[in-house]
Amino acid sequence: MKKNATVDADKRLEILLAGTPLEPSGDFLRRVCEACLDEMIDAKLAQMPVEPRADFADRVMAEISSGNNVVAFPRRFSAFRRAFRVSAAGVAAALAVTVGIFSLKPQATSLNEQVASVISADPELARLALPDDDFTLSELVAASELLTALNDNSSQTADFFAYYEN
Amino acid sequence: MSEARRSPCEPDPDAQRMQRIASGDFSAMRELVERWQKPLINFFFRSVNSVHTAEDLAQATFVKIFRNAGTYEPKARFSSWLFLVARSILISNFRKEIARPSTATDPADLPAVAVPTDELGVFDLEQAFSESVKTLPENHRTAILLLCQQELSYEEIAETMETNVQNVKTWIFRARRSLRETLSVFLEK
Repeated sequence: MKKNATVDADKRLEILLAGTPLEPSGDFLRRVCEACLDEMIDAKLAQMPVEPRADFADRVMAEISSGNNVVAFPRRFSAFRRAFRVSAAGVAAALAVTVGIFSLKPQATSLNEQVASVISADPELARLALPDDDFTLSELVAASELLTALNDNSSQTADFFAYYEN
Repeated sequence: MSEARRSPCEPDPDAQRMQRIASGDFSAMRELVERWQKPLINFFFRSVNSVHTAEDLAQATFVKIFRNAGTYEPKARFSSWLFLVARSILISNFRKEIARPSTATDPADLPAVAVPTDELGVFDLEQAFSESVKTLPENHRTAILLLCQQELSYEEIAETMETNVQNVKTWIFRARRSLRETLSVFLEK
């Protein structure tokens, strides 16, 4: 009789142990997923996927010692070009005209008059500035705007020419 | 970044470099560039669309630091000041980008391959993560990057971003929530 009672107790214990009376709370899965996501997000944020190019420090030092932002000029100029929707030919014309303006003695005339003066004095430039398939009238206007922007910042313009002339 | 974590009593080697730069020691500037180029480029890279732009912005930051070496005062950790300068350059760059006509996008700036759609089942987690970080509001993104990528404390981030710690915590909480929402699709797969 006593032995049977032990068997019953063992069975009851087995049943209890086999049972899973506790249900995960409704948001348990979501919380685990969020914790995993947070782990992943933190790990990815901590990453530094880009290695500086081998000459990066050299280029920065060269820029600092020259006093010019030489390395960034081509891209910066490209940004100007895009901003003013000017073609490469337009840029060439704008540069040529600006070089011409720099060669003039300081004068009290307007920028448009200075541009006209430079273009009329240079047949090659006048030809380049003619509307054709490569260089439309709207581009000429845009180039003038570009020129104005450059002219508004004379130190930057000087830097540009220091770069392009070298 | 072996020099990054020091006791507050130890002198900041970067602050010492700044003093050397201010006194005309050019070699200290190179040391500074070599030490911070990678953290700085990667900080910018998480906010802009190209490595080239990230490098340009990092370069502009170094130049600005060099020019202002004479006025630098080592009140706080150098990295707080470095990223204060970096952030001002980043914000300035955003303003220029906004000012640029949207129709004037250069094809060279477009991704070489179109972003695959999720329906195709080939959406790349890394790309999704990068895009999600870039679309965060600037203050949220900067705060979480300074915490997780640059290992600044909340107090240092507050100093860098010229705000209080509570704002920093709020921005980081929102950044995390936004990233979680965007990326949760990958856990459901």
